[in-house]
Amino acid sequence: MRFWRRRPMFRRSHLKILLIGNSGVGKSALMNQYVNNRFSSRFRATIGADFLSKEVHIDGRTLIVQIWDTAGTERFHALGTALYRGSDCCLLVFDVASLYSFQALEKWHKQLLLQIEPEEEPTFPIAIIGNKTDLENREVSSEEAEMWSRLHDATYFETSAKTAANVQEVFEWAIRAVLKNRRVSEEPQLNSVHLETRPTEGTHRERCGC
Amino acid sequence: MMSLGYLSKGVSLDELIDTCIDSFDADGNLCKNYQLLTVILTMHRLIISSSEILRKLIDLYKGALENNSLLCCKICYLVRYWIREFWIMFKTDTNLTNTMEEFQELVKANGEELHCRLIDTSQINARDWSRKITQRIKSNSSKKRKVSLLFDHLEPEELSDHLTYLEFKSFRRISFPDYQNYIINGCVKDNPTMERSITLCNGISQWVQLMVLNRPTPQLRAEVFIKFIHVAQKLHQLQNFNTLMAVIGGLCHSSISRLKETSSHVPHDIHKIFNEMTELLSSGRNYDNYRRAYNECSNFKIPILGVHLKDLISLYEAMPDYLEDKRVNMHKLYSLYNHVNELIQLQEIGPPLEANKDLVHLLTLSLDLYYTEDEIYELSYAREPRSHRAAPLTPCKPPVVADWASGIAPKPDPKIISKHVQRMVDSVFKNYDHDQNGYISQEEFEKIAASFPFSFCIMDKDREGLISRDEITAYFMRASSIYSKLGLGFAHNFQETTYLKPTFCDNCAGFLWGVIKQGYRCKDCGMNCHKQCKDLVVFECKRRPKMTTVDNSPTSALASSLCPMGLKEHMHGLEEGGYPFPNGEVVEHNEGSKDRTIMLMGASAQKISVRLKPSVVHKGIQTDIMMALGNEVSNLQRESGTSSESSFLQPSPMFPCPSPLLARKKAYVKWENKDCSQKVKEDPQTLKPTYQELEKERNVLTAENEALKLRLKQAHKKIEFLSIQRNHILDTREHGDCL
Repeated sequence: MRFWRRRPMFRRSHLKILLIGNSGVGKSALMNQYVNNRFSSRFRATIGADFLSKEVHIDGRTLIVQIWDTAGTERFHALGTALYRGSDCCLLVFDVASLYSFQALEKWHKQLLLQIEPEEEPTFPIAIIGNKTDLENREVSSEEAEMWSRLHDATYFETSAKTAANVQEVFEWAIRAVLKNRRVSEEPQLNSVHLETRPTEGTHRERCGC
Repeated sequence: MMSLGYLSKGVSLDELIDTCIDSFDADGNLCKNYQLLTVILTMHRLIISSSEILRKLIDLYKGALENNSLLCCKICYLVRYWIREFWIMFKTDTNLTNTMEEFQELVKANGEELHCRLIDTSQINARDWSRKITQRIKSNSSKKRKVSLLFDHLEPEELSDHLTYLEFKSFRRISFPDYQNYIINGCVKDNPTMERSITLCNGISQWVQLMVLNRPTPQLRAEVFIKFIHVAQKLHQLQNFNTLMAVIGGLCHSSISRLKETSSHVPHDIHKIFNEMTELLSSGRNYDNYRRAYNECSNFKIPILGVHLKDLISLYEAMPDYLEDKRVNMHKLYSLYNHVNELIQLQEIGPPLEANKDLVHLLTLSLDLYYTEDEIYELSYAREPRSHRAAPLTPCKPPVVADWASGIAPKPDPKIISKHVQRMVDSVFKNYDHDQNGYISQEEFEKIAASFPFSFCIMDKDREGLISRDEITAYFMRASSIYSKLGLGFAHNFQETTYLKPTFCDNCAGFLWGVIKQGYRCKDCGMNCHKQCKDLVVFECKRRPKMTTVDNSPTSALASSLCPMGLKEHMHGLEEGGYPFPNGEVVEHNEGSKDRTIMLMGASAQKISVRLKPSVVHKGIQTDIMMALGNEVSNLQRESGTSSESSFLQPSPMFPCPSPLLARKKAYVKWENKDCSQKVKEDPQTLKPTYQELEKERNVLTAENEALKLRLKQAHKKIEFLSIQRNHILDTREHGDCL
């Protein structure tokens, strides 16, 4: 028995997106940009259960998106294991101005593959995020990162948590990818009751969206 | 949570400094509400460097020199307070020290003697600035009671107490500036105390995994698993959440949780406790369960450092430094201060336990592990291979490159390890050297070594059955350096090998199954392993030093069976040149040369050794011996005509067997190698058989060999059965002794 096996298909309205990558690549900034929109509003931070959640309306559905970033805990093996548990999608973040953080993706990717269930490995959505595009001194080119992402069956995005460029798009992609993934795995059992028409529409939009 | 009042809208930096100065009256007394002062002095580095603050104070001082001596006085009181309460900043921040000197000169130039005295920093050095470090938690070492240093004998309570002792020791060293640096840098760069604490935590997780994986059978692994669940329960009782997280994190790790067979041996109630623990520590709702449990605890408790560090980083990231009009976001400083302060306050309450120094040393060394995740996985796969439907190690998961983990695994410090080893060895001798002669028995050594996950390491020993201090030190240094990879080479010289003696894989400790070509053997160090383990070996290849004397004491054969290395050393006198350790009990499949060595080890510890040399004749004594040997056997067989057992009963005229047992024991022939070599040296150029002859002989011998192998297999089974039985008896007896 795998002790931390994901609970089978309940709490359908919740999804968990995991941000991993070296420290200092801006994982927390990305998360905050999306969840709290910190660069535009004043924010009273109270650490608690809802700290990392955001209610999202997408394709006519309301979802609770939990965004987990590993910032501060990258080095704790024990905490890492717990974080991967039950995640639906993973964003591997690096800093375009740090070649080292890009090279470290290999390690993070490998660790991720070890942690997720083998059966969901082929469909598990993974995106590579090149963050801090607002910086001048780039060390990793878009082509290089794009190539690496394609080799690892992942979608590549470039963002700037500072200017908020592309941040919204990344998370929307992630949410749609999770929903699509879930539909695929649900369909066989739920054929007879599955009356919703919207999802197909969503699939199309997801394809051209990125 | 203190109320921010007017500050909540943000304040300018100058206003903040004014508030700080106004916290003091003309006589240098603090006013009632000086919390803001403390917050500024501790947290200012998040927004401005210490030297910049001091520079602002210098400017204010300069401006006030003319007409406002009260302000000057207050500034000096503020600086004095700063020096007195946060002297560590002046020790570690060179910019601040330089600016301070500037200030001191300025004050001196203006001749205010009182002011000079106030801002004197020369006393800092005299202070016991490592006050915390020198404070020791009491650990009793004076008591006469000897402790058991065997993992199997340690009660979960002892383990949890001592782990808590170690944890608290490292937790209490993390100072306020350490937390601040962590917040600012987001990593443990130049932050040794934090680094130590995290390393300890990771060490515990890995140790837990390795102690489970180190056991050969699912049943035994389950026993260790259960033990750690009990340890976790005790840790929970002690309110040591950090170690609890490390232990449960280790047990949750997929290298352990994937072990289905092990899991099937774990009783239901243990699973239930385990699930409760994982639920308690689950990251769900941002560690809601843990936070609630943690807040309910009073007195001694150790928080899950990672969770709180994450909070600090999240707070730091989530809140802007400045609000509108460049006004400092005091709310941010306050909440960070509160979080850090809460952690610091916990360092004041010591754990309610007594620690035994010797056990602390044992654990310290055990936890010096620097495995990579992948190595642990490989061990896990070796223990319980993947199910058949899944292909073993799919190509999409390539082998590890050590560099990938460099960001995660810190480099071990040889000095620290050496220190830990020394302490551990001292403790071992204190508890196990009963007659104080500087030696401990082999038996006890093996038991102690089994407490560590380096049980594969082989001991080089000089006195039979006894182990000296130097040897045990060397052993642990070597074992831990192998684990921590202190720049030692790992290139093994593996060769496909047929073992004629039950042999276990030194990498995964599993049995090398099969009749021929069961595994691989390193020509240089003698390490044996499975084909699939060959490339996963993470242990150093240590070319063993040449033996100068041949050990031919009567006990050597027995010793050999305990320690497979002894046998080869026994053989060493035979060969010169080439690789230093010829294979003894094995057949090597070397594509380059056609010579084969067959050595059989029977239950009676007698050996049959035959080496064939079909066509190519090399120069040198070694070849000649083997030639002669092979020829001798073939002669024997021709004489008897068949491959019947009787052929071995014929005493050879050339090589009289020195063992009188031989004549009685059928099917076992012992060639005393040393005697053989001497004989051959006297008469090296006796017989030169043709290729065909040798071919024939080989065929005959192969048939013979097959028959013997069957017997051997039966013997293996018996040996295994007996050793399991022996272990069982030993275990129960030890247990009885201990209780």
